[in-house]
Amino acid sequence: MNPIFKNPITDAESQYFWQAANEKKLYLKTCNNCQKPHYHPRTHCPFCFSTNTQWIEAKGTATIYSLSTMRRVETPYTIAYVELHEGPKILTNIVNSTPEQLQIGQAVNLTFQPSENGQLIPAFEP
Amino acid sequence: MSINGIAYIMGAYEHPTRKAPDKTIAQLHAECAAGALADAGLTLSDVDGYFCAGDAPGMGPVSMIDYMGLNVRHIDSTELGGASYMAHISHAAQAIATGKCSVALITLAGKPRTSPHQPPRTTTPEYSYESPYGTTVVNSYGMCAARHMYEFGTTSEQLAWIKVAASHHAQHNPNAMLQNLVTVEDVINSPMISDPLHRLDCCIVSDGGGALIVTSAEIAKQINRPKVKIIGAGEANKGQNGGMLDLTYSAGQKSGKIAFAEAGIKPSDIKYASIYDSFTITVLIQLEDLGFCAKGDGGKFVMDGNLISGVGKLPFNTDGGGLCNNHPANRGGMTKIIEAVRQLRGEAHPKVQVKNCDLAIAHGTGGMLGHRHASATLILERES
Repeated sequence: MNPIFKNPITDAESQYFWQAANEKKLYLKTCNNCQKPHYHPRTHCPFCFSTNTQWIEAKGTATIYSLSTMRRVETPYTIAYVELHEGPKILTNIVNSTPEQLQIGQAVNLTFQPSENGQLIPAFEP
Repeated sequence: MSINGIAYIMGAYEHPTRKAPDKTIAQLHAECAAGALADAGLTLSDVDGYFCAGDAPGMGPVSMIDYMGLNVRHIDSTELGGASYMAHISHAAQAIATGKCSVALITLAGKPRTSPHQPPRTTTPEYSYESPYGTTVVNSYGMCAARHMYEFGTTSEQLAWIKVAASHHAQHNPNAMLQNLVTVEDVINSPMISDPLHRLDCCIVSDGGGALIVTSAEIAKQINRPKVKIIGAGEANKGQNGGMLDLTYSAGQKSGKIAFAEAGIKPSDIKYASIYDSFTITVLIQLEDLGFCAKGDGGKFVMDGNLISGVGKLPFNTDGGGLCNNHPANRGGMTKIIEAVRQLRGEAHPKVQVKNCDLAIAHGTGGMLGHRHASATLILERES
């Protein structure tokens, strides 16, 4: 029971992220000034406003911070924040599972699912 | 310098419609403006400051000032979603304090019930990263509720008490969209929308609007209406914080502290609370954040009718709130202020009127608690 992912709208800041996703890589950014990683990635570090930010690849392991399964749609889907090994919590979907199999604190791993136009979308699975 | 005691809410009007297929949004704004002016005994030509937010059609104040035939010298279109109108009251007091205007008109109107389709804002910076995942308002708040339950043991039954209290009040409001009393069982047996929020944990979708008039002390003296003094206000924002997020609290923690400090009172002094109620969990988190109970104790606080007027310690949303009465433009801030004004004037429905209601809070949230939002808090006092 997986959702049909909508195509992301890419822009100048997110283009690299989505190209990397097509190579099955989840990128976030870290700041070379304050050394803190952040998500979603942006040119200006949200912690110190430095533009000395660089892309880093996430290891792909995470734990579920919170989740909610949307029931009032044809194909129910589970939205979640997962806490990455690197620290930031990211908005995602939990796939390849039923809602009853999922709980806060559970370990999940990175996977990729195609959107309507074939763009690979980062998601997580138990 | 402070806005405490500078300005007064002297006019308030809630549009009675809940479904308006035959009216335009601009027309509803104008009808609300006329209603609030009549309530204050003022006319359109007395208005020299105009405030509206993102619900106003076209280019906001530029369109609405021309449409209504206003002639003003101060304009503010601060957009904080459902919290905009608390901020407008505060900004109007600031403008009055600095002589920029003396009669401020604030309007809100919208028709999400009969014209529900709003295009997504695709240029927001997070859109690229969030749009594939099916973000909706209800699953954003669902994640907040799930985390609150996980950390503090909050239950669906406790959340249901918030809706039960709102329904107790709405039964006395002939304009309320939902006037039926509901029980805790009704709420938890209603269909699950997005875990753990049931249908009856969610606010209604209604057409409608409202307006407020804020004046200087000098003009307030000339108006033959009870005086509602603005004594404190606060604004704050909270978002994902670069991924270092915590879903268990809102920006109300900050905006509430600022407002209470300015008013020089504490939460236990408050006799009536208007609390934004997009969902039951919204109320619970904000009550904690505003200091009515400790963080994590919201579930116990709202149980057993503690929010029901005449029954509990903190009567809330005595018009039925967004959960039962009205949620025009999907922005609940305006109606929260209007009911607080009714309570302070002693003009709430007799069945829900709080005795000796001299201090009230109206608190709003705009945006989504689970993603990014602004909070704005107002503290109001009846001047005898």
